Parts: sequence; structure tokens; C-alpha cells
Amino acid sequence: MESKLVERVQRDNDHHAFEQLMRQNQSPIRQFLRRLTLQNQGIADELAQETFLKAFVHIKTYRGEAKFLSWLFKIAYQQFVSSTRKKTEQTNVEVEDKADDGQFERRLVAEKTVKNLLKYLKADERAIFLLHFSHDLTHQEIALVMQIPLGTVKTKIRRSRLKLKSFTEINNSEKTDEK
Amino acid sequence: MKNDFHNDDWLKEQLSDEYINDDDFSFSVVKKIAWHETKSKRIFYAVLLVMITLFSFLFIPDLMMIIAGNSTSRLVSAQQFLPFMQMEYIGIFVILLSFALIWSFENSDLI
Repeated sequence: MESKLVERVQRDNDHHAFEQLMRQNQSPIRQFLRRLTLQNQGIADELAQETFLKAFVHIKTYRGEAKFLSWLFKIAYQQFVSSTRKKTEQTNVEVEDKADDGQFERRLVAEKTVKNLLKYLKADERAIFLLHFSHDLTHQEIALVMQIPLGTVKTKIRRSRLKLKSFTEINNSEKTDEK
Repeated sequence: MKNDFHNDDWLKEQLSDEYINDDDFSFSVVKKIAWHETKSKRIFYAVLLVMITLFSFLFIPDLMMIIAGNSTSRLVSAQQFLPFMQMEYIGIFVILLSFALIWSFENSDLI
């Protein structure tokens, strides 16, 4: 069904077919971008719109080797990276600032969920973690989306797990100390 | 927080999100696509206009002189005596005619 819609867009520039494709895929793309931009819905939705516009313009380059959604994730991630490069208030910089801050551990006390802890990962680690655990992409698919080696994907997932685990351990020990 | 960061299913459950379905979003993207297509066409028309203008001003007077020089017809030979400026007017007429043609193609969605 999806491949037929893609074919229609590629062959006839069919806006209606593209709209259907958008309806099917907007949720994961928008969620992914919202988490990447640390819940900045305005920026995330703007990036999502740019992602779909870019997908429409370049749809003839989609050869069907990967899932259509994976191809969209790739564009979305590229959009995110180029937008953070342009803007001074880059997510990575924010994360590094937090890591350098002496109050970092104290702030962790306020964090309650894995979703909230994601902000302490670097943008690329966060993207990989989300693609794998939130959107069910395989390591191979993530390597294609992010254009990095398969080994790097596995390493970053393992490292992110440990990072998040250590953050919650700090969090828990802070709570025990307070008691 | 009770956690198990080595358990994939637990992580997946923690990172699950609600499904987003918003017609306004699709509508605004479709509008952006339409605007993008119009913009691309405008660039195409501008380039075409520049090319036709250049072609007309550079070659039409020369072309007409060549035709007039080789022709035995009275009508065409008469153009030999046309002043240069008048030939430029003919060039402008050709530009307008080409533009009208392009416009009609656009209306019939041929471009």
C-alpha cells in the first residue's frame, strides 16, 4: 500500500498520495523530533514540515532499499543537525553546559522518567536511543539513517544505557542522603 | 525510579508516546509544497524570459537582415530599409508573443 503511494508521488507528483503518506508517518517523525529538540514543539513541528517538504521534493531519489519511514527519519535527523548548526542555542551545547555545571547532580533529583533523562545524552546518542527503543529500528537501519558504522550504533546504545543508569543511581543516592 | 536499563522491553515501554494525528499539519505541509512548486516555476519563467530577451535583442535584427539580404520578395526586402530601432520593436513583440504562449501552457498545466 505504502509503496503504491510512493510510486504515485514519484510518477505523477500526486499531492493527494503524498498527503496520505504524511498522515501515516507524521506521528513517529514528529515524536522523534520533539524528543530530539527536548520537547520544543514549535521547532520540532517546523522541522517536521521541512522534513516532509524535502521528502516530497527529493522523492524520486528514494529507491525503496530501506523502509519509507527510515528514509524520512534520515531526512528528519539531517534537518535537525543542520538547524542546530545554524542556531546558537544548540542542544549539544546545552547538554555539555549541564555536564560541566557543578549543580548537575542536584538537578537530577527532579528527573523522574527516562524521557526526562534523555536530555543528558548528546544529540546523536539521543537520536540513536530513540530510533531503537521508541521507533523499533534495527541497528542496521539506524546505521543507514545516521550514516555511521554499525559498530558505532551498538557502542552508542550501550554507552547511553550506562549513562542513563548512572544518572538514576546518582539520583537515588541523592534521595537517600536527603532522608 | 525503579529501573532496568538492560531490559529492552522496559525501555521501550518507558519511551512509548501517544499517536499524533493532526490534519492541520498535513494541510500546512501541502500548502508549503504548492508554494514551493509555484516558486520553482517562477524561477523557471524568469530564466526563460531572460533567455528569450537576450536571444531577441542579439539575433533577431541580424536574422532579419540576413533574410532580407537573400530574399527576392518585395515585402522582405523592404525590411532591409527598416531602421534598427524598428527591428528592436519586432524583438519586443516576439518576447511578448513567447510569454503569452508560455502563459497559455501554464494555464493548461503543460509545464
